[in-house]
Amino acid sequence: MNRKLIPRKYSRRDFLKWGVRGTLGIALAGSALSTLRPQQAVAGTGRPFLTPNPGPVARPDGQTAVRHLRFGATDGFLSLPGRRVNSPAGGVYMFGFVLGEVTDSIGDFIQKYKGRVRTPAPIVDVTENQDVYITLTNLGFEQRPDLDDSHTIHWHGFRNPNSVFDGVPEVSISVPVARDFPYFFRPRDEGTYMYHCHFEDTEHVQMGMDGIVFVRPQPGAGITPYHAYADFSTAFDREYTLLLNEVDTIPHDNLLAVQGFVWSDYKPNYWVINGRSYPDTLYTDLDLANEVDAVAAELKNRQPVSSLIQANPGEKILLRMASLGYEQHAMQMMGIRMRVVGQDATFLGPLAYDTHTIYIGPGEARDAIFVAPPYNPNLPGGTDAAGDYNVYWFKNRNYQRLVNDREPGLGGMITQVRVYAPNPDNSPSLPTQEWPNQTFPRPTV
Amino acid sequence: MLRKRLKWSVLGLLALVVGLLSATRPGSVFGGPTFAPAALPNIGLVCTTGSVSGTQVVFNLTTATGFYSGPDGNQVFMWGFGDADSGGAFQMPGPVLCVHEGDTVTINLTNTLPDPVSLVFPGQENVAAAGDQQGLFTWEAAANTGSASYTFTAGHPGTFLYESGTQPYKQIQMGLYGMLVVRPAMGDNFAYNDPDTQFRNEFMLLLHEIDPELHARVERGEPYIVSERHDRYWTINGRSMPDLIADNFVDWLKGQPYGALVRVEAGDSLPVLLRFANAGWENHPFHPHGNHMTVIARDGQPLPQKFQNFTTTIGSGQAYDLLFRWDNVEAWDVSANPLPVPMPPAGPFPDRQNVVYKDGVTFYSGNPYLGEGGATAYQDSFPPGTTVFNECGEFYFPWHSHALDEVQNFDEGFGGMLTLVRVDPPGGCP
Repeated sequence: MNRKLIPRKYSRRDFLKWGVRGTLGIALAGSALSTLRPQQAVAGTGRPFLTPNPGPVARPDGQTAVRHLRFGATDGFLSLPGRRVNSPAGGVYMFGFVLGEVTDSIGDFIQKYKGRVRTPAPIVDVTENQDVYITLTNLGFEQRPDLDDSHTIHWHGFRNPNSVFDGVPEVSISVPVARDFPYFFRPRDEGTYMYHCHFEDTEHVQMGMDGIVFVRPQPGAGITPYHAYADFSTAFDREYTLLLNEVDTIPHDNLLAVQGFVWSDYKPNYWVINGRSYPDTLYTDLDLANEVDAVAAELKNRQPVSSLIQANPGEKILLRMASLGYEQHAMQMMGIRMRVVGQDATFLGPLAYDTHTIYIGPGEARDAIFVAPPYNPNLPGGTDAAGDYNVYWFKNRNYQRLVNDREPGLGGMITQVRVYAPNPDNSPSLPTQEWPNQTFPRPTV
Repeated sequence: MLRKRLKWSVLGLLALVVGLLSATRPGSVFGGPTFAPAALPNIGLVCTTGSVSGTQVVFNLTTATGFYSGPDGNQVFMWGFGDADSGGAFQMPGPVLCVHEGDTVTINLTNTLPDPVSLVFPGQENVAAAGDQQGLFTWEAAANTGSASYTFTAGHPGTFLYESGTQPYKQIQMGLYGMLVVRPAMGDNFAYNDPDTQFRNEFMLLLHEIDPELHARVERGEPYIVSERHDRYWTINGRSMPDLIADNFVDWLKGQPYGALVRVEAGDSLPVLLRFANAGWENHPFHPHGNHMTVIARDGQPLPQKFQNFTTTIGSGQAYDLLFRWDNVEAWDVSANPLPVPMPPAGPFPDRQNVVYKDGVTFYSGNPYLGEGGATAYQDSFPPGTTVFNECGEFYFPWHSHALDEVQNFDEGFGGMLTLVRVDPPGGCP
């Protein structure tokens, strides 16, 4: 079976777009669409476009706080090495979720975020027994106005007491364009999960409608938000969500060109962590905020979640790993031993194990904790805005997945662990993390 | 009537599934303390018991050719094992051989294929073999008319594969595989000699992949180039979604007798046992919706420490025994404990003006409360033309490979290696 690459010169989509835009243009009498759209509020701060978990707050009725989130489903473009958005090849067409304001009307939400997707989907950070409401709004596709796909939210691994909130359209409902639907979850079991759209799942998940959701244990009796599970052995100082995906650019290009794809032909050519492929995995939040180069400027409003792992010596670092690609991955930490304490949002207890390579299949999750080694100026390292560091690599052991399509050199599913030299007074140089994946120095807004 | 439950259309077979199920109360006809099927069970594991004399069990298998019938209408040439004691007709997978721990098991194989064929039993030890000729792994039945015989003592309980030991890259791919179940001394409703492995009902989930082009080459007598394999169909129990949620032995799937629909009752005091095995070449990450699974055994060996997960990657040739239950943990009730979601001003949640029932077909009752809705309560509020496969407000959740490129019938989604679990309200459907 031939895998046919559709040249991006095709204009069927453009005709559709121009048609709709023309209609819109008449309707809006020339109002400047682009000026109506503010930059996403958190752009430039490095915050992974989700408000930090406020943690459990006591309510008069004794229950913990309620989280209200607003998700929009729409499309946009991904920036990858060899497929920069502002290059002749163009970015990779994506679907995905954006985070909106709970109070926005559907119309306002569409005006602000349609066509401005982020990859991966927002990190959802909640606490055990906290009522979680996620209102999903289908914003429609800017590039494919003819495509009226519905969307859903499937919280993958959730012990779901309702099929209607499980987000599988064939056995419940899905959300059509320009409509809202309220999803409700009461998480009873802490751990690392993931979520994704289940409408035409093979296509929508590969197109980018997936993210990590994790549940912190109910605090109390010595358990804090800095425990992965309600067990003292899972304490950590700093945490990173690492969502593994592959990208086969052909179905993405075909969708943009209004062409079909035979999904049993799936054969990825990019491998990403949090939507970024090496060397993009090394950019810090500050690099993006300052738009240090053209790549950082593209990542800033497309792939805002850092894939770089920073640590002070001696800190316990929690890696919340999940995979929503369709391949199995062996992720290897070079030079640091990891302890896998959780699997599939389940505390492993006596089954916890030490390892240097974590084997993870599609739809699986692992919680691994490592202790950052002491800083040693004689070991390999470098210097960035946060100071001098030793470098350790976290990589896919399958070298075929350490490439960016046909680009020369190293690429793909590999990132660094940077362990920073302490300050002269021996205090740690990195401040406390305010949200998962936050890197330092903190950008000033 | 907007609701056309038994409409015979493209998806009419789905309707028939529900119709057939409605005649069956859970637990009444399958599983249970004896495994000899008194009547043909509609869903669940179907045992072939062979000729039993004390602890001597004899099976007679024959090879046969037939076709995989895909939900997209494609027919793929297959080889399979048939049960010679009941006619020896082609089937895929082969008969489920059920024996007891300590039994002396003899399997006589008669060959009809143009290749020599043999049987191997991964996980069994000291297998005595006799046949027409010695092959690479074991004694073989010669091509066309040969025969072979294998005898072993089923030393310990568990879930195992049996499969061809001759040119396995071709013959297993062509369909020469099946499941062997060894029951423990503790009882037929236990997976192992462990009281915590007792189950209400049991289900087989036997995974495989199919490359139709390679099979067509075998059918045409052309060279079989295994390095060119490119899977297009993914099967559970020899069927693909949605065929696989049809009942066992439906007459439109002649060579694919075993369904894969799983059915539990909310809050049942006992779990169901899922006997997973992977006869394919790829590892399949199998993901259950609705609740975690409890992993109790791998490759016929009970685990010293059971654990829970929400995805089990079942490696090629591996077997896993998993327990599943579903509890109505929040006990949502339309009056006593309503869901805390916004209620539209008119009509029940969800507001049907603002949702989509994909392709106008749904397994959803229209009511988010377990045991509500379904056949009577909400039928008039579905959009016109919606086909509803729901009896009494039971829930359905999909279970599937999370390598989502395998949830396809060639290029058609919500197919392939995907089945459903049906969760009935306590007491079952009225």
